[in-house]
Amino acid sequence: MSTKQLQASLSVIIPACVRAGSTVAMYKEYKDFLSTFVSNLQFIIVVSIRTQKLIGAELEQMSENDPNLSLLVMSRDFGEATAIKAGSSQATGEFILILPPYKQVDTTAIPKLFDFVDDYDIVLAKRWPRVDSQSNQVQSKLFNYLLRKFSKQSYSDIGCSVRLMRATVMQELNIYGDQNRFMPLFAHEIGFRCKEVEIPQAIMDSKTRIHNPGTYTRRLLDLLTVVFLTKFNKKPLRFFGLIGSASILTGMLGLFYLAFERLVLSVPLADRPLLVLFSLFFVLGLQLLAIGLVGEIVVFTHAGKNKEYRIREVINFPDAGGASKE
Amino acid sequence: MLRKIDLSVVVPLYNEEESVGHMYRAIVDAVNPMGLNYEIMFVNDGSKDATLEKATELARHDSRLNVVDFRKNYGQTPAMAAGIDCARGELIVTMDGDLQNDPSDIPMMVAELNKGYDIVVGWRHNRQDKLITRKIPSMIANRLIGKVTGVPIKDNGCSLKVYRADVMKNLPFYNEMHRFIPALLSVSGAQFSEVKVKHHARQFGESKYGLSRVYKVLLDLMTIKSILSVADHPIRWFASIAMIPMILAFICIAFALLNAGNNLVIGTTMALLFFSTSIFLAGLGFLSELVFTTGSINIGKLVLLTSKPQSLHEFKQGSASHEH
Repeated sequence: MSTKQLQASLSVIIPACVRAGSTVAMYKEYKDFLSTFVSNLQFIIVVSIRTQKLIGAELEQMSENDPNLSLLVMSRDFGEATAIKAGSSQATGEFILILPPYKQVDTTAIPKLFDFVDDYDIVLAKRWPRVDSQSNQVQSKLFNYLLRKFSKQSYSDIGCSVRLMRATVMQELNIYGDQNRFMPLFAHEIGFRCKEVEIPQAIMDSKTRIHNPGTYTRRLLDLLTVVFLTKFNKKPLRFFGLIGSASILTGMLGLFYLAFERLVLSVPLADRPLLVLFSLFFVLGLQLLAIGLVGEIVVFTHAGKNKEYRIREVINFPDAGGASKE
Repeated sequence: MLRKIDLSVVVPLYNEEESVGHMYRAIVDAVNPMGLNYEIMFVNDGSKDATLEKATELARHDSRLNVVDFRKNYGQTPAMAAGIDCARGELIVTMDGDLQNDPSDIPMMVAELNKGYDIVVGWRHNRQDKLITRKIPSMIANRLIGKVTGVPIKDNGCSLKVYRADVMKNLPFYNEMHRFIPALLSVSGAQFSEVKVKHHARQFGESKYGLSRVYKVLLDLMTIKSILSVADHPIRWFASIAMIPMILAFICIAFALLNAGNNLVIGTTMALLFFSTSIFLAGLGFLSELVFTTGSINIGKLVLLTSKPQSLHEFKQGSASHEH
């Protein structure tokens, strides 16, 4: 455990949207521990209208007595990423630490993250060693495996909410809804450096969780959205074009084969369901291509304001010699 | 006092630590005699070698040199776009950072531009590259691009180009579109000219582009072509495409009704399939019309872009003659 003092100011954001029951206790635990080595510490707790009934009153009372605690109430449940983004607008620190409102990792190991802030822009916690059930671990592994396969970026525990980042990351990151999980992917896309650090998992986090099918479907959709947004956001036709032309090609080859059978081998055509199938492929491909094209039009018409690149800095020495003499 | 800048030279750099010094001197040697007030924009596209350090060191001794540093590697087109966005010159020169283009062509190209063109494009007529992997694919690509876009440029891949900044700055410019700039600009009625430029064999480093570009160029070409032809009237374009399945649907329904009895099911199914596709495509037409209306760039604005600089140009010439 690192004992060095952090000189820079730190803003801690706790999005209390789900599993928020123990928020108050966790806030006290985080505060007691972090204040021992961070001198300039600010806490921002974001609660949604749903969790406000549960913990709002108590938090409000606490924030009145504590100038370093701000409370943000979202008028509706907009999702965790929106909550974090809203919280970050109140953050004044040079660094932002995002912590879950429930005990996910060993609090005393969190300072380990600060050892990497010099070389990286985002430091992610990876729950390791894990103490939870096999079923939890299998779910988590499968999800992270899919993510690695699709995104070609290597994260092994995207489900862990403990994240430390520079304040600039949050300013530039445009996330909403439930995209908080995928924050490092978006950050990587706009050129920030990410690093995973192993933090022991808390015993409290080991409860076996089986979600309902809807949750899994949503996760998978989120994953596909993120992959699409990070990889094809400037070239939708490359994505749709590939699937679309494959479908068109299948349809055309099939139709040619049927035509060949009809014309050369004289097999009756009009009563064959295969005709419908191949036509369907053809038509589907056409539709996919057309959607890709509409996507390209969207990108084209908005290219003026969505710049593709991110500049770290522009280096110029205005007082240097060599200016033209005329 | 801030002086007006006449010329900006934009050079994307990716792992060019050996070339950057030579490049800088070659540009200075070529542009200095022109007596213009100029700036150089080096765009460091996430190089993994010492390119940034070398460029920064050069900038320390020359206030005309700007180094735009990217957070990561984004590719040649974004690097050029960034250089162009940051440039303050009235004319913009873009060129490769690998010394294959020769900055000594710049004065000649600027002179050509001043004859009244909006863009002057370089043509590497004596190209020093590998025949099989570079020259032949590029020849085919150029023919194809010329045919499809209707802009007969002999060498679209040449980065050495000179533009008027006001034409260039508002152009939607992303992906690997730098190849299609003349085509994009042609919609707006920009005047362009193509001149022969020198081309040298690669001295340092390795070529960063291979054959894999072919498929990307093809898809990009498809995109450009469709955007350019859709741009005026998306509805009309999509409606004419939607006509094809509509006609097929009528053929199928007619066929099914005429041969009523044994194959009614397949016939009507096909008819419904084509009919729904037709509706779907027409719907997409409305959608793109909506996108075009709400978007920040449309062809109408593109046309305004080039009509403005030309009148501006005449105006400037007029005011210049008054002064003399």
